[in-house]
Amino acid sequence: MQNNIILKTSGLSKSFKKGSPVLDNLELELFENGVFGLLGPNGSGKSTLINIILGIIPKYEGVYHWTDNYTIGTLLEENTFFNQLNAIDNLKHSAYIKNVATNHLMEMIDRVGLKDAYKNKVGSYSTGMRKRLAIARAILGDPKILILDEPFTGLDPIGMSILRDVILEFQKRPGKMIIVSSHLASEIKKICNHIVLLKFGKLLFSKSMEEISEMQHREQYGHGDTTNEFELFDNFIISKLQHETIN
Amino acid sequence: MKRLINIELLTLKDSKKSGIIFGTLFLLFTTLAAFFFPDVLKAYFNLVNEGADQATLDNSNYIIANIKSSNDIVGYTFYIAGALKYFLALFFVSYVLKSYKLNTLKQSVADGMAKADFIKGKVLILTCIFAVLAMVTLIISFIAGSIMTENFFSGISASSIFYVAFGYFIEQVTFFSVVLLLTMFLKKSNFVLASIIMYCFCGVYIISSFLGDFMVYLPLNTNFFINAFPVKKYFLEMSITDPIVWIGVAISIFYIGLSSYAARSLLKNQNLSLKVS
Repeated sequence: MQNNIILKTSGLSKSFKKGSPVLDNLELELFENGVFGLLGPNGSGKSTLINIILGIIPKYEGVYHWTDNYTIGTLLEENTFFNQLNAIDNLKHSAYIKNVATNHLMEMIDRVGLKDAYKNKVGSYSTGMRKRLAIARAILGDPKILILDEPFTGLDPIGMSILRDVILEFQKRPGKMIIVSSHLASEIKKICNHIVLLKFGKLLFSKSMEEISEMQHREQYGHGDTTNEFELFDNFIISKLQHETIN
Repeated sequence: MKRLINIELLTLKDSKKSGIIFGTLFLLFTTLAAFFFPDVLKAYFNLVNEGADQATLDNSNYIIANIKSSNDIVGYTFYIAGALKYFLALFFVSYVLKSYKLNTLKQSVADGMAKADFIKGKVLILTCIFAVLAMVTLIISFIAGSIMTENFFSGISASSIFYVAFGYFIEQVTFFSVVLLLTMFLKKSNFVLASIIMYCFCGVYIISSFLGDFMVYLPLNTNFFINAFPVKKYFLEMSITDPIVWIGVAISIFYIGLSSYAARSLLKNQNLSLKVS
C-alpha cells in the first residue's frame, strides 16, 4: 500500500553566499511511516533543509509543502533551554508553545532517565542530560512528525539507547514520520528505513533500506575485510559520497 | 492569550534575579520620590526665587504652598516611576535578546509557535507589567500621601488619579513597544540603549528645532503629550486644564500597533538559524 506523502520539496535551493548554494534544487518526497535518515558530510545542507522546512530560515528558492497541518516535535542541534529553570519548567514552556496538556511532564522526564535531576537547573546539566531533555521535549504532546537534527552528538551509550527506544516506539505507531539528520551512518542504519543522502546541497539518492541492501549486494559490498553490516553500510555511504557524480 | 502570558511568565522566571533587582530598585526609587520629591522641589524653587521677579515669585510660592496636595503627590510619584523606564529598558532589552542568544526563539518557532505570537506575547506581558507597576505606584503614593498630609484621601480627585495612572500605563507600553522593535532590529543591547538615550536626550530636541511643537507626536516622546503632570505644572509653569490629552492616547495606541506590526514583519524575515552574540 502506498503511504501518504507528508512533505514534498520542489526545486528547493538556498545560498548564504552568492554562487555557493547550501541546498541546490532539492526534489524530495517524504511519506508517513517513514523513518528518514538524512545523511551527508558537514556542509551538505542537512541542517539547512531542516531549518527551512521548520520555518526557521524564511528566504529560499523553490517550494516545500506539508500536505496537512501536522504537529511536529523537534530536537535541534543546539539543545536550547532556559538555563535558570528546571526540567519541568522548561518542558512546561514547550507544552505552552505546542498548546498541549502539562499533566504528563514528570512521566516524560522519567522516560528519558532524568527523574533524579528534574529539580536541578538545566544550566547545571551535562551535554548528554540536555540532549535527553531535548528528546523529552521533542516527543511532548505526541506529535505526528519527529525531526531530529544530529540527535546522537554528545549522547552517552545509555542516552543513545534511550533515544533509539523512543524512536523505535514512535515508529511502531502507524501514520508517524521521523526525519533524523546525522553524519553517523551506522547509527542511522539502526533506526531508519529510508536514507536520503546529500552532498554539497544536492540529493545523491533517496532510497529505502531494502533498495540500498540490493545496491550493496549488486555492487559487491560484503566481500571486503569486514562482515559487520554497520561497517559495511558505513563503507557503502563513504564510497557513494566519494565517487557518486551529482547530476 | 493565557497561553502567551504563561509562556512569557516562564521566560521572565528565567530572568528572576534581574526581575528582583529591578523590582527592589523600582520600589526604592518610587518610595523615595513619593516622600522626598516635595523637598527637592522646594529647594529648587527657593533657588529659582533668588533675584526673581514678582510673577515668578508668586508662581513659585503658589507651587510650594500646594506641593503636598493629594493629587500632586500622586502626580509626581507617577512621574518618577515613569522616568525609571530608562532603567527598566536595560532589563527589557536583555530579556528580549535572550530569546535570540539562547536560541529559544528558534526552538519555539520549530515547535510551531507563530512568529506573530512572539510579538503578541511581549506586548501582552508589557501591558501586564505596567498594569501591576501602575497599581504599585498608586499604592506607594497613597501610603506616602496619607503619612505626609492630613485628609489625603478627601483631597483626591478620582478622575485626576485615573488619568495620571492611565497616562503612565499607556506611555510606558508605547515606549517599550518601540524599544521592542529597536531591539529586534539592532539585536545588540548596547546599540539599542545608546540609540534610546541619544534619541530621548538629544535627538528629540534637534528634531524639535525643525518640527516645533510637533515633537510631542514623535515616538518615545508621547509621555510629554499624554501626561507630564509635574514637568508642565512645576517647571514649564503651564496651567493644566486637561490632565490627559486623548489624542495623545490615540497616537500612542497607533505607535504600539505600528511597532508591533513592524516587529512582526521584521521577525518574519529574520533568519533564526544565525547566531546572535
